[in-house]
Amino acid sequence: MLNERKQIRTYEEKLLTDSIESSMVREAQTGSHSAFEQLYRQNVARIYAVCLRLIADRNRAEELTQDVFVRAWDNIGSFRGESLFSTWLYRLAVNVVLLEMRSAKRRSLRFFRLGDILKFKRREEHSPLTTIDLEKAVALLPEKARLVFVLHDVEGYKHKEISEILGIASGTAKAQLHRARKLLREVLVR
Amino acid sequence: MKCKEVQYYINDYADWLLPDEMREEIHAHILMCENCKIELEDIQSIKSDAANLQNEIIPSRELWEGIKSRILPGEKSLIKETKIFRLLNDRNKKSFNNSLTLRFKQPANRKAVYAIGFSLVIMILISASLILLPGPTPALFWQVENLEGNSKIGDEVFNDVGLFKVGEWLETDDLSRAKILVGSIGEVEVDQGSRIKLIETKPDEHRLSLHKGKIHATIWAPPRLFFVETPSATAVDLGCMYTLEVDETGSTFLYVTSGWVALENNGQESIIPAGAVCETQKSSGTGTPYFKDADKEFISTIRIFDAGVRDAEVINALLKTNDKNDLLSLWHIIPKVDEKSREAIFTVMNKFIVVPESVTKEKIIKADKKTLNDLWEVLGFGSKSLWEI
Repeated sequence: MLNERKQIRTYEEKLLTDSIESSMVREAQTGSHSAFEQLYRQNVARIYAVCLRLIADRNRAEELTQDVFVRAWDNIGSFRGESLFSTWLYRLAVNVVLLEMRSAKRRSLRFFRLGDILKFKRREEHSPLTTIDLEKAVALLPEKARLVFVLHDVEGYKHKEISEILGIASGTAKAQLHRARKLLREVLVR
Repeated sequence: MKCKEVQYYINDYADWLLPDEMREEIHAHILMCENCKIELEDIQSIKSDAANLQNEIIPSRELWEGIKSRILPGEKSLIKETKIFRLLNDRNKKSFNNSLTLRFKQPANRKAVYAIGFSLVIMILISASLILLPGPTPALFWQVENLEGNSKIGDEVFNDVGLFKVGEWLETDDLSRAKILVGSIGEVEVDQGSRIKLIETKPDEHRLSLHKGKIHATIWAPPRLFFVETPSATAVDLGCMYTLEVDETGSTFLYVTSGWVALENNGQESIIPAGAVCETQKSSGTGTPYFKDADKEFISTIRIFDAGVRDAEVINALLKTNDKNDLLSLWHIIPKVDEKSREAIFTVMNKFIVVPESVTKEKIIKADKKTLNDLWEVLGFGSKSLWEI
């Protein structure tokens, strides 16, 4: 009974939140900066989390988070409410990060090497695995394996969607996911 | 089905991507094969942990100001310029008219040139002052989750999530606990009966003040970014997990569970590695760290030493140790004792470790800082290069 009440309340709260979000989006579309700031405050932690996990670099993740919101402001007129604003923004963030990674790679040819993950050290050996350990180990994965792992196992994308986002074959996405899990298993569960 | 084949499909099995028939075959194999069962459990554990990672991470700095300056530049400067021009135009119009009628008889276009020139000079001065004067302080806060009971920020009780701003106090009563998310650099669990203030949060410094109670900090930022002040010392994170407690008298008890913490007070610094404890009394220097599992008599003697009793009897009692880990305490007391005791400590240390050539008895007797640092490196409690910049 308590759970049911909680679910109803949560559902009602969600409807209210969505409705507030929609009205803020409408205001932002008419040029209201304060409404856009509200949208920023509501979504920044989620957007920063996905940027950070994909790019694995705190400073770049902060810059990219800013880029995402600037682009969202520039393109908010094209948002038609077919999905939630937060979903639209999240997809935009994934695109912004991947675009940046492609151009950064072109610029500097910098990418993570397999050896990086082998440098991983657990905070406390023989203790239960913590989320900190997992976050750190994921950040050290080779780039493509990390992208696929974050999109699939953390963010819940399907292989088909990942293959479209990353422009790779579905089989390649699977292979990278298995590689990522194998590497994580080696360093986390050894 | 053989192990090799099972392992080829094991990720697809874990992701429920296989047809029923194949799934059943693999399932049957896993029931019989311990190795494949363990591999499957590991994959499922990684999958589950990954899916449960926090959806949200708060950036370590305020990003809105940067965004605002990029989405508003045209309109913002336009507003400023309009106001400035209006002011200047009004003023110039008067002085210009006065000048025109009373003193000068210059062509109108020349006066206009002067007026514009004057306006530009004023504008440059105003712009320079706008750039040089500090702007509004960005909103600085951390997110706090209420874990139990009713935690308070300032006078306001929060049941779920609260915003902890610079200058505010977070308080937990005897039935409450809370968790502070320290930007994206870590988290601090605040136990019952604690009072803690947010002093500063900026990219190169995050500072709390623990007035009383107990916290458990987990920090994954680079060393020397996260500080907790207490009435008797300041705990400086060197990459670690630790518990810090302040009692009613303001004394500090620090226990490090991972990494290292430096405890600073009155120009003194103690380095506490994982597994070690440091007790520091109010109005005295930092305490001498010791390992939690050290001999009880050794710990009692350290407490006597820290209370200010530093005679030969106390020093000799400490030097009787048979545990290499006690060198942590002996290293810390070298600068606090007389020359004779330093020599005795050095002799005892030589029984446990091979000291490098640069570490001589003469230099230890003088408590030479560089020599003490060289000595630290061979004690086996972690190289200072891990946290010194």
